[in-house]
Amino acid sequence: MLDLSQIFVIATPFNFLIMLLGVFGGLVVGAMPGLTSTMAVALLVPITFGMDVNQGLVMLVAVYIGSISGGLVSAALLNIPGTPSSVATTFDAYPMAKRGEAGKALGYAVFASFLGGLISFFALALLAPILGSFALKFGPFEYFALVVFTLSCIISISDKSLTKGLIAATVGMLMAMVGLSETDSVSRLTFGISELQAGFSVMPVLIGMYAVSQILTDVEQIKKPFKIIDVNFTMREFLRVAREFRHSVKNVLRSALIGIGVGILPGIGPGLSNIVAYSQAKAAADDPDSFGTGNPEGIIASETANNAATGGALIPLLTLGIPGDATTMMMLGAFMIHGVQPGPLLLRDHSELLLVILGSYFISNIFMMLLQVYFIRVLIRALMIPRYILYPVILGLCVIGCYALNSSMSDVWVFFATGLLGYVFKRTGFPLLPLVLGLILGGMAENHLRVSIVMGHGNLSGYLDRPIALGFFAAAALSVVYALWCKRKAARAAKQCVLAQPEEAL
Amino acid sequence: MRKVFVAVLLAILTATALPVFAADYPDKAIQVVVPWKPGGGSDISARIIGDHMKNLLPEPLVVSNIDGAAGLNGAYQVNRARADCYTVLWEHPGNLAVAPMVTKAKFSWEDFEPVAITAMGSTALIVRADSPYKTAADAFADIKAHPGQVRWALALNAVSHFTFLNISHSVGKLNVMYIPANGDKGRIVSLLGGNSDISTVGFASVKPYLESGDLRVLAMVNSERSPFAPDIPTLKEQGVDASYDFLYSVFAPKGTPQKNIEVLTTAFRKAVADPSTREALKEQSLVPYYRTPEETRKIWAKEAALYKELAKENGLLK
Repeated sequence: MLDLSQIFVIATPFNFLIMLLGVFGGLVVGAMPGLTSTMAVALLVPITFGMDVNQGLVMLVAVYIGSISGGLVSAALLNIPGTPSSVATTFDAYPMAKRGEAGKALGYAVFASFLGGLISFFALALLAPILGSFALKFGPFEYFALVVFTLSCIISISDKSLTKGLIAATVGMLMAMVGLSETDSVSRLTFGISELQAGFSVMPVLIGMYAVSQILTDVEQIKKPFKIIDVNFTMREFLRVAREFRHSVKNVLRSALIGIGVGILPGIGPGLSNIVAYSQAKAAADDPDSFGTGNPEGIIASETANNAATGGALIPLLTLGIPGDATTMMMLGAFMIHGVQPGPLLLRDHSELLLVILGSYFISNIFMMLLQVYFIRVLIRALMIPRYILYPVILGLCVIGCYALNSSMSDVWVFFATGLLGYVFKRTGFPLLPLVLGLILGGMAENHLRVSIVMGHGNLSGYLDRPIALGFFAAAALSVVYALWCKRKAARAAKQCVLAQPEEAL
Repeated sequence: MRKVFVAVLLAILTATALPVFAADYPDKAIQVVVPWKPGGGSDISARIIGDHMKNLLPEPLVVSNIDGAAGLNGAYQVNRARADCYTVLWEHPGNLAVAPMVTKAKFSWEDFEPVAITAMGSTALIVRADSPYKTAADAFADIKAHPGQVRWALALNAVSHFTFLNISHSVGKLNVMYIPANGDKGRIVSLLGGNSDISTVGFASVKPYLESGDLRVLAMVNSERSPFAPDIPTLKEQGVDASYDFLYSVFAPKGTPQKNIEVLTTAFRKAVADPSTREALKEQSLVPYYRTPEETRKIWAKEAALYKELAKENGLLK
């Protein structure tokens, strides 16, 4: 079907140069807290206007890969996920970095990103047309069921108090209801404030919750420098970390498949893949209690999945012309400006462009890893900047990022307000993730549920002949029961043998 | 120091008070607010035309996407902006004439000054390739034979909803099952995935799916045949008196000096007449279509009256 020899058309020195620059630019923007992959693509797209189609596509793919991977940096080092796609990375990478092993945490994350990208490359190259049609099997019924399943992950992730996790999720879902409803544009819960018509965007809430609350928490020890053991993180140490992955083959494969699968579904994209992969890795692990304390498996699951999702998100874009997330939506616009209409005809009429995209996807992933390995040392140095200088800079970047998202000041106020809320949450022991998840999923859940009820002639019976949806419901129920059972077992074990070694939770 | 301050203050006051100074318009970049995400028809048309105005005005047009609240977010920002024609809105009647009405916003399209209409998009009535309907009449007959059974994908309270209501009005009360689906892509996916049976979408978005044989056009919804689909008859030709022309229009805040509007609309007229702009628009299946501010106001008034009528008839005005 594809003539692979054509892949060499992209192997020109100039193309390599723009790929390198694209990945580098993406990494820099993605690594800055508050600035996202969507912004990186938006900033760098105009540069491609002067190029021909091939070079433009190469650059776009490179920027996309670079910026998604850059997100791991601020997640690992500062506990501030720059995008929803690196939320789960904070769970284990930050505790590890806090122990002083910042280089090692980044090493795990970088290599996992690379593997995720690689596996996803093969899915993109070999299975794109088949997987593309799979995305169409997802109607409102399946989406709603998938959302329910993802929400059930909250239970297995929230370790301390289930009640608090559920309260936070409910607050998030309530926030998702503010503004014009997605289904019929009826305005709700705006209290007459015009700015609330648009509702809460995910990015300002996410960045506010994590960045402001983290900075406020750290203010108490602002004079103390970061603890760093491995200042000189060399290539050799990176290879040692990479060799560790032989113990995690199953985790990598599972997370990559989850990433690709979730990434394919338009509208959900890489944002959720990391959370689903993390919760599944935790459920499958021998030592679920060590997750959240700096377990490399947690980093691997999250970063493999979010990079695998990039290839997944490109599949519906290239085969159906449907963007999977905000960033690929931006790419769709850029493709069209270059006169390329992604969609069912791309493979038939422009198979050479698909090869260009595939080739640059593959090479960009390699560049991403190499650049990151050398980046790590620079980044660790950046951590040595005193916090009282670093944090105002980060806060400034976050404000710029929130404003630039929609050129609107109200997003900046949302950022500060949710930041304070996040701080209150942290101080009172409420988890932040369920709120963010509730906000991301709430609107989607409501819209798809309403549409599915309409399609079922006013009731839920439509779900009965939707096997995929029923499968997700069953999986959701099982994961809730399993998580609760594990928690009870762990609690009982702790009670029974106080002195004994920590018992294996299944 | 104080003298300088007073002088500056006076200069500012006279500059804002005397329209004579507006002759220098534009002396800074003009912000074009597209109230949708980048990559859609509105965004692309704004970028193409804005790009081709580089040589017609001393300052550039900068497109900024202010998305959200069914396009009202961007409209609100322009509504509040200083009335000097440095912030303008890129909108189409199906949205700005409809959304403020059904959401009870504090402003309507009449709270803006029309600058120009620049381009026209086409809308198509589409079904899946394997649909039993061969003509629009087949579809309407089937809908009437099976009330409430045929699934029509549309965005509730938005332009595709009103396009349906308009069609329904002229063929006589069509009772369909509404399948809420937002945006052209959303409705195309809904059709492809078998979650709906019929819909209206922008012709530019649906074109690749027609060529690939996944979808089929029953009729065009425009008032006249599109130059991009000269073989496809319009609904009007098939005896249904309903049409919708997707008119990309430019609006300035209310109270903008006519002089500035004059400068901007002249630049739009020249840009749209330029063969290279026409070529670029053609690539995106857009028809160059310039109208003066006065013509724009008349066209919009007519459209808005129709929507109001339809909304009243269907109980959408609460």
